Parts: sequence; C-alpha cells; structure tokens
Amino acid sequence: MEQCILIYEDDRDLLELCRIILTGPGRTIKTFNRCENIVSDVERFHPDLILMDLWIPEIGGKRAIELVKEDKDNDHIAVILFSANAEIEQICDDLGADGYLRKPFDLMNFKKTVESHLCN
Amino acid sequence: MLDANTHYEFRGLPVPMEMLRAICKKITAAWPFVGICVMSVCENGLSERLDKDIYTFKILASDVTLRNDELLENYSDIFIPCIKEQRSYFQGSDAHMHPDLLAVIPLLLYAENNDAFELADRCEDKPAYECLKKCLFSFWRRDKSALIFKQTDQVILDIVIEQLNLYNKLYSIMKRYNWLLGKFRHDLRTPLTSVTMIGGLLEQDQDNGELREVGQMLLAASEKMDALLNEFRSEVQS
Repeated sequence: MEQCILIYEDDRDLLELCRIILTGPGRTIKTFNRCENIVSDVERFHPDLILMDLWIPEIGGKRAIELVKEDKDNDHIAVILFSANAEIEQICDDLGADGYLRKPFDLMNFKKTVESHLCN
Repeated sequence: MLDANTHYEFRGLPVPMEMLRAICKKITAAWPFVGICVMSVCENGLSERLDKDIYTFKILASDVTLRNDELLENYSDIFIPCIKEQRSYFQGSDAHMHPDLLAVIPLLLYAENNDAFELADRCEDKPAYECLKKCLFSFWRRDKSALIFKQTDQVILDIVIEQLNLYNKLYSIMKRYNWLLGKFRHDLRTPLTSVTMIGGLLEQDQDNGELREVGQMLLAASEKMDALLNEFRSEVQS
C-alpha cells in the first residue's frame, strides 16, 4: 500500500533535501513551505505521516498540528516535529505529537525516526 | 519628562523589577508626603492607533489590558490600577492630576517621536509583552492636593529619573541584541541541518571515496558549528 508523507518546512533547501532522502518506491512525498492549508492538505492526500517545522508561516507548526488533531479521524496520522527550539520536547508532549527532531539533526537520525513512525 | 511637577515618563521597564521597587521606596522615604504611581502599558501596533487629528490628546488609560498582567500582580505594591474610563481629557496641555485620578498614561505622547515608531515597528512579530513598553512615574500628594516640589527636590528627582532613563535605554539595547542573537542562533540551525544532511548523503556514496571524504568533512564542520553555537548560548546565559 502506498505511503504518503507531508513535509512542512519553510527553508526550501531543507525541504528539498527531506524530499530527496525520503523518496522511494511505494511512497508519495508532498512538500509545503506554508502550513495554513494543512486541513485541506490532509483531506486531499490522506497522509500516514506529517513532518512539521514549528516556525513556519502563516499560522505556525504548533497551530497547524492542533488543527489536524482536532479531527479524530486523523488520529492514525503520525506527527513528527522538527525545530531548533530548545523546548521542542515539551511542545511535542503538549501537542500529542509522536516524535521530534531537534535541529540540526543528521541523516541517520532523520531516516531512523521517520521509518520507525511509518512502521508503527 | 511629561510634566515638570508630577509626571515622569521613561521607556521600557527597568529590570530587574526589584530595582524599580527599591527606587520607589527610596523616593517615598525621601519625600514621605508623596505618593508614587508607576504605570506601564504595552502597545502592540501602536502606529496603527495613531491618528493625526487627535495626536495632541492625552487620554486616560484603561487598565483592561493590564488586569491579567502577572507583573502587575507581583508588584502590586508599586503598580496602582488606573481608572477604567477612557476619554480625551488633557487636550493641548500638559497633564495635570485630577483629584480622582491615580495615573495618566499619555498613549500618544510619542506621536512625533521617530524612535518610538521604530521600536514599535521592530517588534511587530513579537508577543505583546515584548512590544513597546512605556512606564510613567506619577507623583501626587497623599492628601490629593496639588503637589509642588521644592526646587532642590525637583532637581534630585530629575536626576533620578534621568539615570533611570539611561539605564532603561541600555537595558532596551541589550535586550534587543539578546533577542537578535537568540534568533540568529535559532535560524542558523536550519541551514546547518541542510549541511549535515548533505554531509550524510555524501558520506554514504559507495562509488566515490573523495565524495565520502568530503561528506565526512562537512559532518565534522557542522558538528563544530553546532558545538560553537551551544558554547555561545551557554556563555550568553551565564
């Protein structure tokens, strides 16, 4: 079954890198540099996993994830936050996200975290 | 200075607040017949509220925006709530204490002050408590009668407030740069992540040893940069 990952990051270089790294057979990657349309994105692409930067226009990653979590139908979607924010762990807990990556994260850590949440 | 006799205004809250409290106590000790009111107001998007037709008005401030301010609660001994009514009152003149007034906040005092606009513009993206803060020292007689200082007392008060203003200016500059440094450190970590990821990709190249070596160098460099950022943060915080 095709897996779908939505990536939200306002730095285009990092966004493209994430897309390149995660692209593979049986997997659809959709990238966005803004997050205000996240609800319609989720409705359209039915993702298995969302990677969300916290500091992203227009509404910010935190609010975007809150919007997704408001709909119980989205409970199966895994959410991984990434940010340079020192309080990322606490924010992750508060939002009920499934995991986080503290910037700067490396390739292995990135792949490992994503794969583990896709398997779950 | 807003009014030669009863009001002093300065920008930015002195921090630590203990210093402000100490100053208030010392002033009260020196002039026991004087009451001191310290009001602060945070204005987000101040420039939008300014209207050329009314800029000479000095309005009575509402305390609605201040009611939930934890700072005010913690320092309730020096902060005194202002009356709630909001209307133009001291049109075209220096503010004078009304018998029923505890404080007057001239929200529009900086209408022609470019520095204030600049400060307001700089903090558009920051939370309200980070935005333009103005404080007002307001003196009145405890018996609510007209307050007139002796000239020597007035000179001393002028010096005290002048020093406080200088302190606040320095503090505002330091706070601004501290915020910029924090943002810089935060922002730098995103491109650093890209460099780290590229290093990781190159390091995995099975066919080209030179690329693998370049990848390792990139990873080592990005680790050093991250370590430098962490050291820098520790130093700033200490």
